[in-house]
Amino acid sequence: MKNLLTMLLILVTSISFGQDLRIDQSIITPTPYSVGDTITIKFNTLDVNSSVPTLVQFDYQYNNKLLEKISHEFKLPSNTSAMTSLNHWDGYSWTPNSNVSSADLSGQYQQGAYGTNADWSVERITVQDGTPIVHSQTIFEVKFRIKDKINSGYDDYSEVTILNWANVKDNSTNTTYEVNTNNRQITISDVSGGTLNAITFKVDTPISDKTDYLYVIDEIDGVDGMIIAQVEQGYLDAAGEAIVTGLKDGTEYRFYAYVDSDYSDPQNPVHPTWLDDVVTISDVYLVFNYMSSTDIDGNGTGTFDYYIQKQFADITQLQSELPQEGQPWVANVNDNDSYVFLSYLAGTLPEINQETGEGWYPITSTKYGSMNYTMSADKYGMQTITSDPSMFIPSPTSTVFNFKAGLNGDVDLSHSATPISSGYDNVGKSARNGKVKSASFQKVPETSNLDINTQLVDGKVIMEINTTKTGMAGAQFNLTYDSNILEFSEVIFDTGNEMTNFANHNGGKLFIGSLDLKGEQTVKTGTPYKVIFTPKQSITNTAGLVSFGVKEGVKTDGTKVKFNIQ
Amino acid sequence: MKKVIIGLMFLGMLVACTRDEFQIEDPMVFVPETLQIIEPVGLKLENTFVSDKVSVNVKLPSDGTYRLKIKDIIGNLVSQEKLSAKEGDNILSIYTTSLEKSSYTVELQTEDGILLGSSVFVMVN
Repeated sequence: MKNLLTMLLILVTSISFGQDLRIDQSIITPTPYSVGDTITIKFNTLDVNSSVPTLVQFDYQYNNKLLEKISHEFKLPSNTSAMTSLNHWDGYSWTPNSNVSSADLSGQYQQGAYGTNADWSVERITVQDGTPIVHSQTIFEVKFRIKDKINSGYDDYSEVTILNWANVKDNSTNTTYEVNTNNRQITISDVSGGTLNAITFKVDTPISDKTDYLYVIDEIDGVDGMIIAQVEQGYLDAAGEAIVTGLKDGTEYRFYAYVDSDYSDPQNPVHPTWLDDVVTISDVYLVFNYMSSTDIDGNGTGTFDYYIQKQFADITQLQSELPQEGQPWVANVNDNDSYVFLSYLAGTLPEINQETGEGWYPITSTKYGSMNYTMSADKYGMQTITSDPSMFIPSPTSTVFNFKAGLNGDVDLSHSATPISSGYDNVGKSARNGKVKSASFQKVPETSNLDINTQLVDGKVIMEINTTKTGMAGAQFNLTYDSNILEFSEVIFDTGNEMTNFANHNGGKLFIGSLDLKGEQTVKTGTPYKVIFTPKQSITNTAGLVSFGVKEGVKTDGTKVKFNIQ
Repeated sequence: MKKVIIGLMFLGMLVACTRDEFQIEDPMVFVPETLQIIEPVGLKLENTFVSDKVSVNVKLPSDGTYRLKIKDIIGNLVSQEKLSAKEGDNILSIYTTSLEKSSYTVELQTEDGILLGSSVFVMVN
């Protein structure tokens, strides 16, 4: 009996501690810490059972409300020729598989799952070498600035970084190692300082790429509002925040933020690719619904939930009439707006005349750039604003300033902050008009499963979009394909006789979709879209040749449908 | 004796007229060492680091239709191939130029959604 118990004990011990190596994370910056201090965290492996890994890959996440990432560096002093990679995502957090110990990092690999969570940022570290990656050496160091926890939603600095999973192998023998950790989380204790050390700017925006926003702070003349000097600029952090020191108590400043682009070549600026996801079929449909009734001047008299939607729908104002330095403009939506929106999606708008500016529209996209609308939270989206909506005055009692950011053309506010109220001067203006279709929208879209796949058929690459979703007045799919290998041939529409179909094709990007302008007909189920590509070279299969971006529909009542591809 | 000879001649004619049967075997698929899979089914990438494309071995339990799925960090499907392939090793390619530079998971599934293998790759310039 005693022997049996001993054997069981040995067995349990072996199972519990069956591991080949550990991944260790630790702070190498000595205490004490204050708000605004920079700390460095290092990661390394520790051998347990004679492991000789040539591939080390792991994910960790950090709390972006409490830490602002400054920089990172791969060290690997004993593997100087190793290939390294860091991937970064904002707005996600890991949920471990509850059937596996969260400290069992290799056991968690591809077992847990990521979900959206604005408070967390994820980084994937990958290192590969032809020789074993030496243990106990620093693989990677990352520097963070400690943020003030005030208004962060967190009471302390516990678990600010967490190891999620690891995938460690010896590629030469195809050996996969079991990896654990004794330091899954890092907690910072006793952080001093706080609200008086710095001014915090919080910009509310639903986009995940918050670090694409560049902020600028100007000191302004308190009398005439003229700019005296630019005192600060930088990018928002992953939480959409900026911490700024050195601002003077009682001085007037103006804060604004915008999506940055690369203007190295002014004639061909490079904008973030996600700008093409901002204005889609659901925005256009809302505008057409709004225009389903008009006044004697031809201006729409429909309803929007928020006044700012009307502003974002008004895209045919003259450029000279657009607001300067954050001032609001009077919105007037008419037929021109709705048809320019539709022409934009269909890709039939004329090219921009670079000299005269003719043909330019304030539609947020990679074609026109970002049209930014950033204001203090209480003024954002208000029909009437009586004071500078970007001005702030810091003081020992005013150290946190809240702003909201939106993008013109984003009528359904998919990439723009929602105002704190409807914004209409007169509540009656936002009330439902029973004679017209509601141009309202639901902030929580419906989801529907969809099958999109590519196949190699008789030497052609065929992409089929199959749906069983009924009741859609419109649908849109943004595709990217490898134009080095594929040549776009055609789209075969089977959406119904009444639908307005479009296929906007431009340099490896293809936007296809349909819309019934009256919202009376719906997209046929089955295979409404079939895209055909011709390979430019011999291929054996099609995996990865076409990727899917925007994939959404809009129901006849204006509700957005987000497709979940199966 | 005459009958025997006639019988033999008839038999000889039958044999002579019998259509030759050839056993057509599938050509052997050469599997590089870096893509060899020991298990009966699975998926293996030639490299974790990918520039514009990477070779992949999908080892299948039987002839049929399968799905090669490329998923982002939260499991959203960003690209999918419907694939008809044969039992055993199938050396294919995964193209990445159309994908945003990031890290992805590639999965091999049956038409019924049963996962047969998966692997993570990271994109490099």
